[in-house]
Amino acid sequence: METRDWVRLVLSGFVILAIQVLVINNLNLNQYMFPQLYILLLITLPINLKHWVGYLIAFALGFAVDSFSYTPGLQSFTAVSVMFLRYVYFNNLVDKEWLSTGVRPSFTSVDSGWFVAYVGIFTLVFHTILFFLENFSFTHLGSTLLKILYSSSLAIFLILLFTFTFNRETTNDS
Amino acid sequence: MQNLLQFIRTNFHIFLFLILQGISLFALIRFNSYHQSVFFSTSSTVNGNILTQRKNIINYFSLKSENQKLKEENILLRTRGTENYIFVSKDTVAVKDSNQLLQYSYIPAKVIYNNIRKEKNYFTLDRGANAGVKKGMGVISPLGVAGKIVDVSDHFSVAMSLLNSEFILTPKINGKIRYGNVTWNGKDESLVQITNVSDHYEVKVGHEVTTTEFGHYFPSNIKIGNIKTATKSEGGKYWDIDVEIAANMSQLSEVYIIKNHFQSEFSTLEEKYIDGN
Repeated sequence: METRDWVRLVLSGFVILAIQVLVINNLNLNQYMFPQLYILLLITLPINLKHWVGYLIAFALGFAVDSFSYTPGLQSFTAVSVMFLRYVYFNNLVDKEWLSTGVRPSFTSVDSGWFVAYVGIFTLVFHTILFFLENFSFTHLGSTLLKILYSSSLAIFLILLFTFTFNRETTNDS
Repeated sequence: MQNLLQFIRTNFHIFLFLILQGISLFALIRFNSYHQSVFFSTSSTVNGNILTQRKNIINYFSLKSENQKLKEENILLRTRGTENYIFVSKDTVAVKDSNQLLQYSYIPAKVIYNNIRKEKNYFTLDRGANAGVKKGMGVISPLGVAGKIVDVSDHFSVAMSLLNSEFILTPKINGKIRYGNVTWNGKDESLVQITNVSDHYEVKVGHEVTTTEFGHYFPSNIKIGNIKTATKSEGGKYWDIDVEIAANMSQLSEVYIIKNHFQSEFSTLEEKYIDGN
């Protein structure tokens, strides 16, 4: 990635973080819906990004969201975990040659079907870790599972919507 | 050394991952009161079980002296039985009467963890809410007062030791003077201090110090200890009293938790008028 791309990434990062902590966190749709839109930033990082950079970015993002919701450690733990699983996925289940191209996963850069599945899996994993960690025990399992289901569904929808619109803009630019 | 550095360098991302997760977990447990309470209640159950096992083993080594203490207590109790008394007056007849109600009963418990090295000491007992233990109950050893329950889980409870600078109790000196406060200054683990006893009371070395019924935690006349030194304080208005503790605080093992059947009645009645306790 060139410097221009990094600047764009950081700026869009701030916008999405702001939407997450200022709008979505205050929506109170119902007791089961707490979608975490900001993980869009984590899963669309370049696929060949150095591990330590990825962990630091994940921790910083989680920390930022935590600091607005007064839950220190919750989001940062989940974000770093998801980053770890993302590397496990890329290192073992993806073609090495494709990995070295360093694309950022999106509707235009990769196969749409693959991208939807990829977003779906990691969003679900993220919300699973998040809500089990938040509940911190296996009591109220039903409501935790409902939270995971509803929040992930909404988050997947929002993330796909966002990437779709965002991509259209970039293609228009170039 | 070279290999170690090389190892750290090649696996730097794994260490970073573990460090970041460690920081997050620490923050989660340290700063979120809900997670903290789940963590500590789980760990206290686990620790409690481990400590019980440890105590089960340790107990074998003190069986002899425990037995001796129980024998002494048995002798004391036996001498209180009615068969040891003769009726001197022919016109008194013992009847089971209904004008007395049982106020205090005793829950036997074992000390599974005890510490006397700090300024604020606590010990852990193997009886909890399931055995009827509640916050605020008094704890005595066969030899004398030991502490007061401050926290209760289902199977365990934690008592504030007599050797805790926050422990406070009204004493009865020589069976008469019911005045002042028993506290611990944090220095000698065999001595507690009595403060605020005015110097116009007669206090002598060797006088017995017992509990009063004032706090409703202990029945009266449970031994605390004997006065070891009594000096007039500077200015000469109050006594400085050191009491040698009757209970062996470093070797606490078999104890009794005191249940006051009228505790809730006292507290609802008194809460409007009396602070603290």
